[in-house]
Amino acid sequence: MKTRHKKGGIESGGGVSAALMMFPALFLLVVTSIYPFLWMFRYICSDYNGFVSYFTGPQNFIRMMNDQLFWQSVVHTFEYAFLKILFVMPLALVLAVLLGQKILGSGFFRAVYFMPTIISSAVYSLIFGFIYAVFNGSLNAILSAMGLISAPVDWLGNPDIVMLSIVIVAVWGGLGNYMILLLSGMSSISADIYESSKLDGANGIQTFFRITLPMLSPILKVVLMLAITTAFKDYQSIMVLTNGGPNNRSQVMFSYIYQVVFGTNAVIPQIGYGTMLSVVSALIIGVVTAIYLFISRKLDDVV
Amino acid sequence: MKKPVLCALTATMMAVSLAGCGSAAPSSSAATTETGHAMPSAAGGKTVVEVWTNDRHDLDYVNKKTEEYNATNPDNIEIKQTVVTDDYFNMLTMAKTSGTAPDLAALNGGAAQFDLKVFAESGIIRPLNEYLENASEEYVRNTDYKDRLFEGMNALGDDIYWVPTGQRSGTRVLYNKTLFQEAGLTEFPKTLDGMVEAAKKITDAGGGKFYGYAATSSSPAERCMEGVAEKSGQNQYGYDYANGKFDFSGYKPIVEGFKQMFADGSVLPGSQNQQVDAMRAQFAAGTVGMWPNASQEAGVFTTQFPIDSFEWGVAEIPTLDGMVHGAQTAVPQKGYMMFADTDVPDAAWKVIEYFASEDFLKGYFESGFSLPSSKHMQQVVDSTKSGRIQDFGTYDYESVYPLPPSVTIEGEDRRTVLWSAAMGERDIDEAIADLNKRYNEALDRDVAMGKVKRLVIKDFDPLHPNEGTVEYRNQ
Amino acid sequence: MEETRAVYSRTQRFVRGIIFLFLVFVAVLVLYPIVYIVLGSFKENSELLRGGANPIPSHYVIQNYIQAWRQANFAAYTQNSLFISLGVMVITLVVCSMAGYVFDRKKFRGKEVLYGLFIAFMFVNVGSVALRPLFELSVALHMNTSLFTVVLISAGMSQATNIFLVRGYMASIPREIDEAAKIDGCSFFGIYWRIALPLLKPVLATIGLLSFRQGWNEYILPLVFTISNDGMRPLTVGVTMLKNAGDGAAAWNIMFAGSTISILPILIVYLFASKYFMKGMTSGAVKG
Repeated sequence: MKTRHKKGGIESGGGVSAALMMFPALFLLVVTSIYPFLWMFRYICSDYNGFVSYFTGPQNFIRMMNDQLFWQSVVHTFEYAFLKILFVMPLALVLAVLLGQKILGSGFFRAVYFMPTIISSAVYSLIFGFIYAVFNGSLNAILSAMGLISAPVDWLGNPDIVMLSIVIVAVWGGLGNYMILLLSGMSSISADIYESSKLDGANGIQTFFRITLPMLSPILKVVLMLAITTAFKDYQSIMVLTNGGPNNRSQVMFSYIYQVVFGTNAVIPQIGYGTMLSVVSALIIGVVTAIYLFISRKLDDVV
Repeated sequence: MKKPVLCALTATMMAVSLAGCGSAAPSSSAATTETGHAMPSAAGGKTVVEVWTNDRHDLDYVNKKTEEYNATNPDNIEIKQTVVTDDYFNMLTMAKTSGTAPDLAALNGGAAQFDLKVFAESGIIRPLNEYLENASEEYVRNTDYKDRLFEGMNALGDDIYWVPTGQRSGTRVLYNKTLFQEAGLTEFPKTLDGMVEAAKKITDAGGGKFYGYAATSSSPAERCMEGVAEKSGQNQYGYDYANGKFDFSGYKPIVEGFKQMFADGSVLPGSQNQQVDAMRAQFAAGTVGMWPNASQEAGVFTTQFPIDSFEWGVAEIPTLDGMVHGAQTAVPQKGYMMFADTDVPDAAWKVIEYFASEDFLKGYFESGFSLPSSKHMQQVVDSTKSGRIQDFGTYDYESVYPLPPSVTIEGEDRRTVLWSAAMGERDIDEAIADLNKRYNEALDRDVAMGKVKRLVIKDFDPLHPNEGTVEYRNQ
Repeated sequence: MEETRAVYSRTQRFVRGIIFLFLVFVAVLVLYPIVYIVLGSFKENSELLRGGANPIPSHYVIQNYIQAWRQANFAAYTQNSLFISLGVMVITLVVCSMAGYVFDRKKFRGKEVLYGLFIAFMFVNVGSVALRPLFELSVALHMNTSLFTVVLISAGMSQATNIFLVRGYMASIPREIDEAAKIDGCSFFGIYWRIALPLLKPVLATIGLLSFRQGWNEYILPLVFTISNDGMRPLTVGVTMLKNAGDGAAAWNIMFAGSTISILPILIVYLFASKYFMKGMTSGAVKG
């Protein structure tokens, strides 16, 4: 292997070494992503409970098309992802820009904002359960002490509010991630450019719009796409906080699929149908991302 | 100059990623992991019996007795116990697929994730009949196993797959006597309407400081709506055994009662979406008048969250008219099933017998982990030692229903739908019609597919659900 | 002249003050649940579970920590967690930096199709459903009792994102630099090693940190693979096991104590990584 690599590296303009460098990623892709995906197709037309599989033809497809709960959960997923990104991205960007400068305690703040991302969802969901509690909850206590509300709010039980409540938890949990990604993106902007801009007399806000944002836009686009795909796949904390309730108001695609695949306390697992839903939801996210990529490329051409 | 290093690096890395797929140890017995912990093996001439359990509440006791057994048993058997609490039954099947399955697995009745028929037919577990036929007298006496066979739960026809040694009580209502007094109530109501009224009175007396009723958040419909339904003659599964189809219409007046309680504002706000443990803490803090749950709470409120600021009582579940029209489910507990692949079936059976021995069970019940289910053990146990679990007792009307066929329904399950109707999120009649339609469609389809068989008990008696003539139909 | 300058710096100081207050405000919001968790780990279980607006324990129960430490095999759990985290980190860094570099700097037939395939699998996250076939595969290969399998799967399932990041970052590095290196006689791999890697430092520090954390937070994956072997469990699995109580109330206070303990190692790692990528920000970038 060694000699071949050496030869290829020099003689064929890096073709062989490029192939070798690509190989591990390809290997992992095939084994950990493509294989399980193809595996799912084995059961896509079956009623499969994990042990015995019964071929049911188009039954799963028909069921999916008529499955109101699923399509509701798709709508909720869009709603959730939109709200999450709407809040988390600007906030992460502002924090990253502020903390990219030399500010008193910036290292401390960075560490603080990162901390939520290392706490397990089982632990923080319980805490948010207490914070959001209607009876004796701390959020209600604080808000009523400030005179903002007169009666306790049912943060997780009110269908009009529950989406916002779980988005807040998601923003809390994801903020540090995007801040760090943006910070590392900003580090590719040369300090010289900032210097020259300062000499030109630009103030902070001008610098941000004239230099930081345009220079950051390739990374920003990457991070935004990451944020989109992550937001579409979130479900764990939702499951612990509301289990999709009230009345499925906070049910998202993957929490629904999880319930189908693993069963509830009154229903056996339905893996066959779950694979059908998984494939469809993957398609949905794929389309969203394709649209996003298309738009961001078009924007590039314009700008 | 650096090139050789680089090449070596790449090569090593490739080697690592390739070695990853082929070079691992061939079997679990030899596999030592990176952390250096060896897997168990039959070392030292001992016969190792691997046991999995998903119970933790009794773990200290079981571990202590296991150690005793390991040190003293004449057959040189060593019990090795593993606790698996998450996704237990899925883990069992995965372990079976991977050849790392234990010899025995503990289980309790009534888990929806466990379908005995599937486990038996896929050859994961084996019937215990040959061992039961030759079982020791003590075993038979301690378990009364012939009276503890429940179709679909631990037995399929003549094949017996596991035998419970104890049981959980049916759902009871725990109530705060001090709050009852404050609301001017003297005794616990016998009817559902009475309970709704009591909840309202307590809530009114509380003025926002305490509430009449709190839902058991982990399974609000199960506790106690299903209990009320069962004692009122509507079994929890909504299965019409005599005719072999689903019919949820009997639930209507019961769901209406609970809906009234929500409408009155008598339910502790938020109690249906917080963790069950948070509700336990609320009951112990005296903010809840009535809270439904079963016998395991005896230990919770005496040792875990001891209540000493008020008196609490345990009441039988109310019914529609105060009379008992049907059996209430009391879940059989603590049995062991044997894996078909076990190399040491005889030793495994000896372990099962040990876990059903008087020595083991007496201490087990006296610690209040479960209620004795055989006549003999009920006499042997010193009830002064077992504490408040006494109050949960067992009643004549408690039994186990034969499990209806587990069908692949589309959409929400019965518990979710009924509870959602109780909370006023959907119309009750519409919810019941919806359940009847979806459950029967699923049943017809699965029967036609040959996946399940239609269970019919022509002479079904709701007061003695387990005594009818079981019949399985292909149509 | 003097005067305008003074005014300028005064407004600047004012702006900085506002910024600082804003950062403190956000930090308080972010910290509140965390403080609640840490203080909760010193409470009696019943007090913790009662919730309420007051996060401060009525009295401090150190016993929670002693019990958590004694019940859980923390030394072994931490070791296993570190093994998984470091493994995921190293494999991710090596695999993704190479692939991202090739994708950006090499032209080959079907490149965009292949890249599209990688990206496509960023979305095909079937989560727990995928565990079943992977587990069956690893059983067939006799790899189901090794933590290394956990590492490979964890790294593999998340690699697309990281390749995507590296490629994006690589694109922002001017190609003139490697043209120059090529003229100096550097091979394709040599450019990666000597030119690209140092320039990628900040993004690699980030990926390293995030993949380390990912390995640290893995739960369902190691749960499935270590189920029959307590000695192989990482902290996530071990700490959650502290809570589970089967029939009675779960010991949340013990689990909270365990969680608090298990936050410490990764926080230390963060502080190291953070220093690293801040260094990257000042030195690495200037060169570019």
